Amino acid sequence: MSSTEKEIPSVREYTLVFAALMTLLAITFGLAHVDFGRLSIVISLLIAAAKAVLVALFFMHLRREIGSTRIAACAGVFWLMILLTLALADYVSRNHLPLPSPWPWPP
Amino acid sequence: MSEVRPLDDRAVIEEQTLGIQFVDLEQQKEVASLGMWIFLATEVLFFGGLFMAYSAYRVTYSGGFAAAGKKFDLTIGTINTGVLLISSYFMALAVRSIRLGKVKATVKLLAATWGMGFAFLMLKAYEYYDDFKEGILPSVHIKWPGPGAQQARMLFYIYYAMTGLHALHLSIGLAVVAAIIYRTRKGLYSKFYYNPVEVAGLYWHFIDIVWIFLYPLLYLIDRHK
Repeated sequence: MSSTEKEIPSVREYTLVFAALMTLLAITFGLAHVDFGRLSIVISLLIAAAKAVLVALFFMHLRREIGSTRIAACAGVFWLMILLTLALADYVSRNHLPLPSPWPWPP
Repeated sequence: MSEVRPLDDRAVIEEQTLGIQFVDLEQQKEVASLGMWIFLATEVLFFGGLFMAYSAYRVTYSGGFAAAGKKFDLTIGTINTGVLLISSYFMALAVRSIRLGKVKATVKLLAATWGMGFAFLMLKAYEYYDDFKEGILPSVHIKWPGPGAQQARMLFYIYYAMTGLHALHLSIGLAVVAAIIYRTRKGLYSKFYYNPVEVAGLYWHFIDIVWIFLYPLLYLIDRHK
């Protein structure tokens, strides 16, 4: 990536992203006062993910980075998903798939 | 200001800052960013362990967590999220300024970033103090009467570990930004060589992203249970 002035994002781009981030914060704060039951946390985590993607793509310039840098960024998220998915597959299914004998967990 | 360089002379900057293993300044910058992103991937998994612990106990201890989670201060949590987003905005503008070669503007924007980070830590410290007074900060003992005490205690431990590790990262970020301000003022960075500013920015934005996920998980989740 050369540092010619053409490729440097404009102040306008950063300001629009910042405005979007603050709007998402206001939305998620507002929605916290509405009861969606179990969907509440799903909605607020989706909004958080949207904010994180905006920060990564624009503030951290991932949009304009070379391929290997993007792969490094995705690798972190990918391994985190392996950790969360495999471990939670166990914890979440325990209530639905009762064991034949008493299990000392939760204590 | 003994090390002043002619910041507009690409050839001079290249001679002073280009490592022998790199073709040109652009490649050096790409490698610096790649290295930082690899470090950040390890950081994702470092925090990931805590997020995993939180999720596992959130599922198994859902009753106690839901009752105890109401204790966290939504107002301070929300303000702090906003403060960090503003700091990230300033940091992004600071990196933009140095890429344009505007040294003075960069110093000002970095100082604003630092100030916002410091404000976050002060608000967090106040919140910890409040938690301590309420008896929900893991210290000498946790005051939590009634059923689900053990489950509530686990939430407070995890809350303290997650926000504490985040605050530690932010403190390191403050030290890094202070060093970058000092070195920018010394005239060590220019539009041809700004890798340390860029890389410090990546670290700062990462800390912001961690908080973006802590906010719903700690402050928003239990408002209606």
